[in-house]
Amino acid sequence: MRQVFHLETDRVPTHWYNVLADLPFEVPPPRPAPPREGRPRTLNPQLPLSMYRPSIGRSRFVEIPEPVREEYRRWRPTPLYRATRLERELDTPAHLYFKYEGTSPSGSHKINTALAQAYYYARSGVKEMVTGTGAGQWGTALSMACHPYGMECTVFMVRSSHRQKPYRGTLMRLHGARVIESPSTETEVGRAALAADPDSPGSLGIANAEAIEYAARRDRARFSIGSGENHVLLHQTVIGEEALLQMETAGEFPDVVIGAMGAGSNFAGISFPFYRAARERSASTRFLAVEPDACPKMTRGRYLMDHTDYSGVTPMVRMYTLGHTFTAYHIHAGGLRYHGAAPIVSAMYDNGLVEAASYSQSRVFECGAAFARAEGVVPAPESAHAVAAAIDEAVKAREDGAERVVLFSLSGHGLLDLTAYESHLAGNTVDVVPTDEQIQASLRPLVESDETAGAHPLP
Amino acid sequence: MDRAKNLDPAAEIKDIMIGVLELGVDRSLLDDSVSLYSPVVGLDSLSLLHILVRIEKRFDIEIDDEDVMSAELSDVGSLVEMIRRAVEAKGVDE
Repeated sequence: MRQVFHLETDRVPTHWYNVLADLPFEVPPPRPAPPREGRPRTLNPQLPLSMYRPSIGRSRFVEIPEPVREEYRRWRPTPLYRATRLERELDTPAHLYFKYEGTSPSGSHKINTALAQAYYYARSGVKEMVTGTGAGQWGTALSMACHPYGMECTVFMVRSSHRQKPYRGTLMRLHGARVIESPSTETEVGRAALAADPDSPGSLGIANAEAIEYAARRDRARFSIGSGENHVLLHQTVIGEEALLQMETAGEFPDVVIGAMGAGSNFAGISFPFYRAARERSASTRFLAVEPDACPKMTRGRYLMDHTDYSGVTPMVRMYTLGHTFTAYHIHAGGLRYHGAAPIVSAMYDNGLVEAASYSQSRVFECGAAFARAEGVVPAPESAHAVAAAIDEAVKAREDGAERVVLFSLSGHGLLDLTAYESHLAGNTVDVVPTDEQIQASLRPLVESDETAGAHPLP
Repeated sequence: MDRAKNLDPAAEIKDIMIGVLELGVDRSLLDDSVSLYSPVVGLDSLSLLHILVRIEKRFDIEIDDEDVMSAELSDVGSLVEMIRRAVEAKGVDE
């Protein structure tokens, strides 16, 4: 019998959790973007101050505005399951739990921050949100979130994903968004990327750079991002806060918490509240971020000051990065192709509070398909990275003959990714790994301009 | 707000800018006409928010989102003026 741990609607968290309050070190602050030619003559703040304020503060808990909670209550709390059938098939003594965010209207965790951001931006007088999206989950979430607040939404979607997942574009348009394939001819950044490589698969860095440029010339429009910024990580902690209560109901506490790692919001969402709880109970819980071999920012990148966008117009943050000009090979988990890891997650990794692992695309789909057969839920390719790591933990527990409680975030469903699964079933999944030379080429300019680079050599 | 009674807000705002941006310059170099994009200041939108949070703490105020989002800031004087208005609106006795 399947074990489900539901929470009543009134248990939707009242507060987000701010991990900065519990870190035994300071996360390095951002550095202003370098001056550049053609910069506008006036400065337009991009983030609502009330959204930014708590994201750099040290208050442990940040109250969720009631209108945002009201939206959350439309589908939250999301369920926590124990994957008993998968446990049996793996013949493991490990207890495998997954927090399933695929029940949200957009099909993934991304809407947790999209709704919060839409609330703050609308309150600030913004009329149009502009963004870049990789696999389309963020674009879908933002297009859905803008609608209740009467805002327009424009999405630059990475070309490879846009063509691989046409229904993502349909879904965004259905919710009123304008979807533009990136690189596009709508912006200087896009035109330059196309001139350099007319067949460019695009990247999230390029899509975001296009969105920034586009928003800058629109009236009352703002660029919004759903990946690694402090406020995004903060909003996603509703996942872990609920999971804490659900694991309590299950009568267990995880030995390892696992999340797929794009820029870090899903990983942070599931793991940060457990980081706090583990500290409180002096538990030696491990936190494992899982990335694709094709975009190994944590396992093969360096801890450097870098831009968050391809064109280098954004402020620089210290993060594990492959370099903002790094364009990962086209993989099905488009949401994990971002070049850098969130500053907070990066600092935690640098301080040994977080672990990282990378997986090949073929292994990820093998595990995703096994999970789908066992549990009846098709994981998004991004989420399947966490499944792969959870399966490895379960196998290790079997080999060690030790019980182990494993919790992972199943951040989204893969029902709009069936082309990718079809490719897997046909045996056509390709493994792609960047060479050391490719990584070093995009890192070189950063290393040369970062006086602390020597302290963080290649792993 | 006893401290605020005794200090020139414009000077304090400039001191906070110098601190947040690690400018390492004397306040007198931050004349009101200096562009926020000049090599002296080098401000961007994220640093601006950081400065505003520090100013909020210093003056014990909360600046409205709409005031910040609708601001079109070009030079040091325009930033000081925006903050001065926010401080006055909150009834801080200068």
